[in-house]
Amino acid sequence: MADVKRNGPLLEMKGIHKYYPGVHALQAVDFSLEPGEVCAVLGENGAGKSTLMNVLGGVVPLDEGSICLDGNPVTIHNTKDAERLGISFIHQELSLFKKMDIASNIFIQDLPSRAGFLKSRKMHADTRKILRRVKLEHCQPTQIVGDLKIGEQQLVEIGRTLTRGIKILILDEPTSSLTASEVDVLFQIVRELKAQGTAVVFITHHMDEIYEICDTLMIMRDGVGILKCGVQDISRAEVVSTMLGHTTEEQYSHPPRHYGEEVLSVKGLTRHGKLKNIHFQVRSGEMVGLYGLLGSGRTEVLRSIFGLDKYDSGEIIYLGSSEKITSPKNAIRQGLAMVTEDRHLEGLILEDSVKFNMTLADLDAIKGKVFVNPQKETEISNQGVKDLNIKTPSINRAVKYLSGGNQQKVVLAKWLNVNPKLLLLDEPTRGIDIGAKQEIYSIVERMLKQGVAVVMVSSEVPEVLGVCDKVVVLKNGQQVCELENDGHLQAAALLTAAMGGD
Amino acid sequence: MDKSERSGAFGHWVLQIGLKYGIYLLFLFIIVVLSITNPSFRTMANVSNVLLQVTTYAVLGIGMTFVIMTGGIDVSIGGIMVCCGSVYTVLSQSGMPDSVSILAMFLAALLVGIVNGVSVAYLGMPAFLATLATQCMCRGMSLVLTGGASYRNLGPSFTFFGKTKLLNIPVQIWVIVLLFLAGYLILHKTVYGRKLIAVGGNLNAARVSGINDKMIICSAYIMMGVISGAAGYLTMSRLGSYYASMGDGIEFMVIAAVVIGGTSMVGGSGSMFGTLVGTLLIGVINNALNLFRVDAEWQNVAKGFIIFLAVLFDALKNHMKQAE
Repeated sequence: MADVKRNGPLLEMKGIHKYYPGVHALQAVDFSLEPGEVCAVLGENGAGKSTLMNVLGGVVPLDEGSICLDGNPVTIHNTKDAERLGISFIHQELSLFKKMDIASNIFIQDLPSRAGFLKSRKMHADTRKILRRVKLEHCQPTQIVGDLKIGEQQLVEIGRTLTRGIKILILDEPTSSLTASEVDVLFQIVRELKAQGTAVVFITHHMDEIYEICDTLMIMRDGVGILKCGVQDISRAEVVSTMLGHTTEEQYSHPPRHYGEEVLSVKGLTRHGKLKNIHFQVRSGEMVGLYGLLGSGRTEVLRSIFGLDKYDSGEIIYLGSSEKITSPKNAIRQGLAMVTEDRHLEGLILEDSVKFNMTLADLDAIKGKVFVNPQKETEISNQGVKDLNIKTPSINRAVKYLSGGNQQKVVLAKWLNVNPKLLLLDEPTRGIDIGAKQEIYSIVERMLKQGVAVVMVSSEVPEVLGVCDKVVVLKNGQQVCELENDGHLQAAALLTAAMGGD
Repeated sequence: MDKSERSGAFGHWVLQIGLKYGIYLLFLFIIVVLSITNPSFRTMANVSNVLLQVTTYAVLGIGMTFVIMTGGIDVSIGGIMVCCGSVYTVLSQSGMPDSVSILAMFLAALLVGIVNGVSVAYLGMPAFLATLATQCMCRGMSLVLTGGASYRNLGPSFTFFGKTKLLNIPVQIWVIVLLFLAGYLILHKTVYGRKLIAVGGNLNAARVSGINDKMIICSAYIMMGVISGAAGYLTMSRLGSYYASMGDGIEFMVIAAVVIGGTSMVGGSGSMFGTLVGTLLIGVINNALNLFRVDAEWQNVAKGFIIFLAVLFDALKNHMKQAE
């Protein structure tokens, strides 16, 4: 275990730089931890908090700067190096073997054996000890990890790190999938680690938790470490305003919009364990934003509307009819369109051409008597490429060769071809450059002008404030509030609502 | 430096072309070599012989291309062939008119196809195991029906497809040409084909785009079932007989032919033309082994080796794609 008596910081990161193509992700960031310090790292999307922790955890190498551990300079090239130095990083997506038992999961990196045979008895005995430490006494070492609750799985993963001495534990949004009692257990473990001199870093957004468990907090913005101080030295309001800064780099503006009839009305939408009592209305020509942190249920709302997920109770009234939309096929036929969050996973067939992808949601449009009508196909695709200004050498080009922004425009073009009355957008501008973002906004603006109703999920505050008429804020699957964006809505109000500040 | 870079790029280009069209080049190469070294290869009789020998593979390859394009696999095809054959034989021997027996045979094929399709698409069973199970049942059922006996001298209306010639070319070959044309058009030119490729390429994206993925996958297996019935029919008409080991192990040669033809085992990419060439390649190699009087035992070794090479080829191609 770490030496508690020694003076001086446990960790010192100095002048850390990290460059990604086109982005200076970390700009001379300093970060230090005392033994037994529990520190929250905060910042908006893209502020660089994950990158900083990835550097510390060996997920990505640093480009410039130095790291000292216990006063000695160290180099961390990969996660193995980090683990050897006693730095453990627990990611949001757990890296467990779900089909193996708890004991194997805990000891997978160093299975105790003699002459190639597992020493099961010793492994099980040691596992029991670890399970006690992570408050999982009720679990057996032979239980299959996949059968455990998600919170228990997370504790198993923490248990895995306890098999080696750890000096620094990094937790990325650890509580987003936990119940209140599971969070309590997690905090108890954190306090025990703290007592043993282990430093713990939380990447989190939940204010209540920060003030409950953390000693210090560090705020990042645009790749720069803005400040690090004790949690008692800063108010919640100051935290939010520091996170946002005063200048918003991107400027959004939109012409006045004219609203028509109500297109969609969501009443008391509930899906057990995911969504609870969501209410909002969208009129034609209106854009409603769904804002919330990760795991707030924002994507699930769209999926339920589009017929991809079932819901347990509540009503989704589309164009005055409460007839259930049962499948995406059904939804498309009724004039809904959905740009999914992950264009690689759910948006595109990457190996296939621009033309193939663009016509996929409305194949009836290119249907001849028996065969696909190549003229119509080419015509529709060329029109889409022209309307959306998609940069591709040819409509026969495989979409995987296009840039992110152009890929996203292909997805959008695919959905515009179905002539939607209601357009659902899930993070439509994630991971694309500013120019392409602006183009996508202007395309959506054109749709609004034609009377299409739009619901957009976004985790970027300036975007939500810039383009939405109304914002529904979600937290833990529940609706916190609905805010009218009349031009006076403050970024801080939005963030405070989503983070649960007062 | 500049020059070496260019030659490197050239090498890369050659490799890419080689991987993309390698199968066609290999096919042409073997044909040219055989034509020069072995005069009996280029006789009309031998060409016709080669084509007749691959008809069964060819027909099955059409259906298998559809199935593999969805990312699935069907190993029940040999079982369906022999099961259908036994249904026909038993009914025909009991004095039924041929039209009824043939209809019953195709209904049996359709039924097995539906069982396969529903199991894989709607019940979520792994394709390999579900179709392995139906293969066992089919083969077993054929033994139950016929008691394992062989039957010669099938009726003249049945053997029409085996013996008749049109424009001096056997009718079977015409049938193959027509079926391939139909398969090509369905896969590459219809909306249905589009949906099938999309489902194999990215199931989630296809579903979000409003494609009924389950129905598409199911349909591929049903089509495969009916085609297997047709393959059994054509085989029996060519030979004029039914035998219990018909179609034994044929599924793996057919899968090999489809993969050699460039269809990806994970689904989403491939071509009907590739399958045709892959099938012909296997036929020509078989023929060459016979012409050079290679022992039957060694023929199997050679065939295995060729399949090995082809699959290695596919793996290299995927590797190259990922490197991009």
